Amino acid sequence: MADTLALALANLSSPMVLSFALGALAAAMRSDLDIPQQIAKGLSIYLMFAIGFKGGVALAAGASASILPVILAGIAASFAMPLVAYFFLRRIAGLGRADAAATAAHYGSVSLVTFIAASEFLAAGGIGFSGGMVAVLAAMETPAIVTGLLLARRGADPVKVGRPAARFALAHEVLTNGSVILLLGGLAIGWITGEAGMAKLKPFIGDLFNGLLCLFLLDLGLTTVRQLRSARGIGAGSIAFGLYMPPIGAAAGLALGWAIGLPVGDLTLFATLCASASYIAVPAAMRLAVPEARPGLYVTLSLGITFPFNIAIGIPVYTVIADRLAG
Amino acid sequence: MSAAPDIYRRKKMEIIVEAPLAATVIDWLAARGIKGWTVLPTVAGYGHQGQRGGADPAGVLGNVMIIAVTEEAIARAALAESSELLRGIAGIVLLSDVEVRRPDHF
Repeated sequence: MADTLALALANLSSPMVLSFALGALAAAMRSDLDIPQQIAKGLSIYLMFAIGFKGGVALAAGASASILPVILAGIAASFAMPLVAYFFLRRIAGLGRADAAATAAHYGSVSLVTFIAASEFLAAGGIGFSGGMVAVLAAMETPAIVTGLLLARRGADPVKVGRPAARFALAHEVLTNGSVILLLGGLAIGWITGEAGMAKLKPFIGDLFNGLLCLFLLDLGLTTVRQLRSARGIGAGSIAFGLYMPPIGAAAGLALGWAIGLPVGDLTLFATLCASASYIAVPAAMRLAVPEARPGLYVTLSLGITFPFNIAIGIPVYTVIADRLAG
Repeated sequence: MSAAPDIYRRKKMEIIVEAPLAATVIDWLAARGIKGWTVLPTVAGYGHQGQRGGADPAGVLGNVMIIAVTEEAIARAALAESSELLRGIAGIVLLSDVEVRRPDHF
């Protein structure tokens, strides 16, 4: 208990979490502070490429083949987690089919920034992890979208959902998603160029990383509170889901990761991935695929409820449990 | 003394729609014979669906404005069909009169 508390306090006092809190506070005070949208998008592109590249460099230095079972476990979790989420959203939160399916897809996918925050937390605590976990992150982005679609289509009017042009647009969106391309592309470049590439890019990928991450989290803090304030028609059942689904996902991730023998760092990251919810790739796909679902609902839950929960409370707790299991 | 330039009347369509659905709307316009369009990528406002501003990282809560100029018959037919296109999503279609110099472009 004392370990968990100390870790939680250390996490809350990190520059990243404090930057998020600053953004949230500014928005709560109705400050006119605003990060221009294109700059926020640029920061997002930088973070995706940088984390992919760093993962590839680490992968080049270590054993690559051992990550394959983790990738397969991640893909399985990404397919299966929406089913669990859907059950809770329909039966407990009382949502309609479309809202529940679209929201459930978010909870089978992953949050890049939550992953980065967990990686930085582990690094600050001297806990090592495999660079290949970035490949697991990339692999877990999109299977949940497929499950979400299947859940949305159950009992739906086939005329509404079967248009070939819409299916092609969705398939294109899923397969060519920018965040997956950046993550996997950065991973590939880092893996090919290795330490020599890292030496060339260190001032950009290494020295600037934490500072730019702080700015991105500042923007997320602003966005989170503003989104919470403008969200309509989100019931207590849905908000509660946004808080209890992360620990359920983390428990599943810890169990699965422990079963395949992951060490502490990788186990923490895997649990974090299973506990997180997408707010970049999946919302855009769901808006195309399930237009009758409310984007204000799933964006608010994944960004406004689950993301702060994982950043502030989840990551330290998952780390302590992972250490008990695999330490 | 030079002759006055020929001026042609057309209809301007301004479609404000959710950003993720911009490509769908553009395909819909092209299928109805509209030859060109301009997209304003970042548009914010407030309406029937509440606040729209696109501050979320995915941009699904943001709007774009698509501007297209075309013949009146095409524009009016598109306006009549737009209610089906925009059913259940945040969007509006506005028609106004404009004058142009190169009729073959519109």
